[in-house]
Amino acid sequence: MSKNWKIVFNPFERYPERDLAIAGIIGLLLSILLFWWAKQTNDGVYHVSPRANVSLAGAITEAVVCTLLVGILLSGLGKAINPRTRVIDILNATLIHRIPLTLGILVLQLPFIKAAMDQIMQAVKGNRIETLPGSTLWISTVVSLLMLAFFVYAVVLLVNGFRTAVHARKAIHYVLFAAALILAEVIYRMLLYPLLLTF
Amino acid sequence: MKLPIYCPSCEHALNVSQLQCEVCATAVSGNYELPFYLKLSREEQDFIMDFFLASGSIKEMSKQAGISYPTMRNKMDDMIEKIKKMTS
Repeated sequence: MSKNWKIVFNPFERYPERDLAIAGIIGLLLSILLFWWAKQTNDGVYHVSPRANVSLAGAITEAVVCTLLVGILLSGLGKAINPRTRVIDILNATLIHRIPLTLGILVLQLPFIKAAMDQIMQAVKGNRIETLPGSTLWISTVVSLLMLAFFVYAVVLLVNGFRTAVHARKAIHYVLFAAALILAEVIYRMLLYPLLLTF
Repeated sequence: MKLPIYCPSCEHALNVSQLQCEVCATAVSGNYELPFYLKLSREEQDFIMDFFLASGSIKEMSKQAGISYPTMRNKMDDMIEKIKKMTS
């Protein structure tokens, strides 16, 4: 793999922690503003839904809780695998990996994509999917593939960040990594998100 | 010129069989094991030298090499593991 592509998929190998932290925090702030403006809510660590009454404080809390939850679980796992793992390296990976997910939400706000999505929602509600024009279906297919690509890129970033921070080399490390992400999703959906809704 | 440390035909570690004085050409023959440092690859020797010159600071080394701290620390861990295997 060329050096440039390596940087795209594993910036953690090259850039110092300060630069990564700055990029990650800027990404987090932009995602908060985007979620608030686009009226979206993180009802799962890796799931987003529209919510009409999202406040700025709510968007901040959701973004911070999601990031910290994944960061804390992966830091704990990292320290168990390699005691020399630094929390800052794991937190940077957690922050940076959310940037492609934020870009995905941004793409969904493009007017023609939003219109196509609304059209599909209305058709599903009215039970008349067969009336949807071909162009709408094409847009939804391309957008779905794009969202999948953003999600895969985000996971690749998180895996590479974790691998670099922890020096993970065994298959069991990656199995535990996947288990930690599933646990984060379960904790957030079952315990934290219902709590956040009460604020 | 690069000092060969492994046999090019069977890849076993090489020993020193002759040393010679550059001035009078006196030669000493025998079967001497290479010092431990010379058994490492050139890159590994350079890594140890850089670590020494950076006063043992991995952070400083990573800055000089233009890579992140964990990447440099991982390289160090790999080397420690290799040296431990070689000495055990």
